[in-house]
Amino acid sequence: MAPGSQKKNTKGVKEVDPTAKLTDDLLVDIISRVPYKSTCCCKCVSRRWRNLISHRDHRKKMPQSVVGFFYQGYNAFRSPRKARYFTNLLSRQRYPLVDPSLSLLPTCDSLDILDACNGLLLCRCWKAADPLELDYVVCNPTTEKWVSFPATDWSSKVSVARLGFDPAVTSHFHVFEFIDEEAWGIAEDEQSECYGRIQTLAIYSSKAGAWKYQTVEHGPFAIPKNSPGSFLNGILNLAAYNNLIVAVDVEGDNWSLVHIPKPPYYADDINGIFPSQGQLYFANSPADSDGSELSIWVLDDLVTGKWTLKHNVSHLQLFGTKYSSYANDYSVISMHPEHSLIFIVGGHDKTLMSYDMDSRQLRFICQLGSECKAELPACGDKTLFHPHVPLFSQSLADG
Amino acid sequence: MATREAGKKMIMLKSPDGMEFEVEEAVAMESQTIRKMIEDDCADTAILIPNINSKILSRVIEYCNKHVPTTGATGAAASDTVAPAALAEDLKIWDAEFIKVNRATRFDLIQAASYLNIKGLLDLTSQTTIDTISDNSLEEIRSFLSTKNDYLPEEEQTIRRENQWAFQ
Repeated sequence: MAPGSQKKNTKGVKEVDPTAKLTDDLLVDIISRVPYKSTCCCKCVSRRWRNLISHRDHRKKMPQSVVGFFYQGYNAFRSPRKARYFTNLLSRQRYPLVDPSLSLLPTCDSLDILDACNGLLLCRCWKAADPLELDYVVCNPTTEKWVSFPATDWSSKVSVARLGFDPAVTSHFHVFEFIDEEAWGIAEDEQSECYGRIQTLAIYSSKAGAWKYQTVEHGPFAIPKNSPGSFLNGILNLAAYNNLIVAVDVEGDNWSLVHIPKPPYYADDINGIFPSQGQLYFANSPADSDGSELSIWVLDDLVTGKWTLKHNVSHLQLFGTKYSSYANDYSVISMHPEHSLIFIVGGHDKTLMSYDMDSRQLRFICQLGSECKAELPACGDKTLFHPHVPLFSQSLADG
Repeated sequence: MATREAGKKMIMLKSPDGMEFEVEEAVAMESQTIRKMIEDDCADTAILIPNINSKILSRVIEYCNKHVPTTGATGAAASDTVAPAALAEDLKIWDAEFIKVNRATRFDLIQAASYLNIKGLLDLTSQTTIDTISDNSLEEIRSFLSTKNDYLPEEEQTIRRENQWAFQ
């Protein structure tokens, strides 16, 4: 039942704005429950609406866009060797730092953030009683709500688990666990030639409260452990090895395997795909540019696998003379959910920058420092950055 | 009007236009505001509900009557035979019918639900407005809410430019 009731406004009678009678708090409460994009539109409705949305006391209640990234750093000469960080994109007055220790969660031996999706984090909590056993935890760092559920028999050996969650559709979520042949227990001499081939997909539905398994008959394909998950319109998309994108829906019924538009210059590059503005984007430095350009593509259609080139920029133009040394040492880590803006980390000091594709402007954000690195960078291991979009909705897997 | 059943405590609610409504205490306590008054012993004979006319108040009571949890002697028998899921489904259908009212009534209900602090009713009545804002363009939102655009033309141009992407 929705906007249809418009027709009930009788013509000829002078219309009174019904929101004029609402108190500021009530109107703020209503506006705060529309999606982020609509709140931006709401700012243009009238001065009262703009002032309410922009007011310091209300801003925190409003839906937000990406405010920062969670990531894990590594330093062999420090204790603990692995540490979790949160870095802010906005000034601290606009959004407070998020506690990356996630102390709100139940105590466990150690905790890994595996994925972030529209305000929720998927974590692996290794049990204190048995360090080889784990529970999955999905939490909302903004409301400090969390739910824990049992892992599968294979979870401790699985390297790729991703979260699917869309608060505009439901407060329920799905977890996708990609179980490779080795984790599944297939003897080495019986494994396929595709090393790390995904043998089984387990999908947890918070609504059903249970895991569902299916043997993967597509591919063969293998997924790098730091391939960022990209959940869009009920479909999880992941970059796989061999220049493939794997897409599967929350039921595990519909699969697509799509080739990336162009192979990367560095063959072992983990290709990033990112959801933005309701579409799937892909960024790499294509081989045919001799690694001198960055190309950003958008997927027109999952079924036909057709890509359109959205933006192309030479490294020289992108980084200018000031950051020219980054050209050989950078990665595109994420894309803004609503703007034509990509996030890049480059150089030895891991400088976080944003690049606006419309204005072709590179903006310095901060230096994350050299400890912002993966455990085995020499083996192509890359830091995975989890974009954080605060979600103020109190419901989590309960409606 | 609810019939007086043995053992059930009744509460009198009065609207500012002089109407009186006799309701079961449990029904009235669906409103957290009234619950607090009852618990603080501020409600011996009748409670005056300011700012809510009898037409809106009667609809609010109708909502609370439907949504009050069915417990106790008579309620237990009912919930034994009907599955909770079916009950929830039934309530959803009832809610959808209940909210088929004109815009002015709906906003009066939003205000009443907020004043009386009835979360379910507030969510239900706000949802139509939330859907409208979420699904429509700026012009449609303005026309749906008859909101006066009080920006100067150049001001509007600036703020639209700042939020350009939201219009795509």
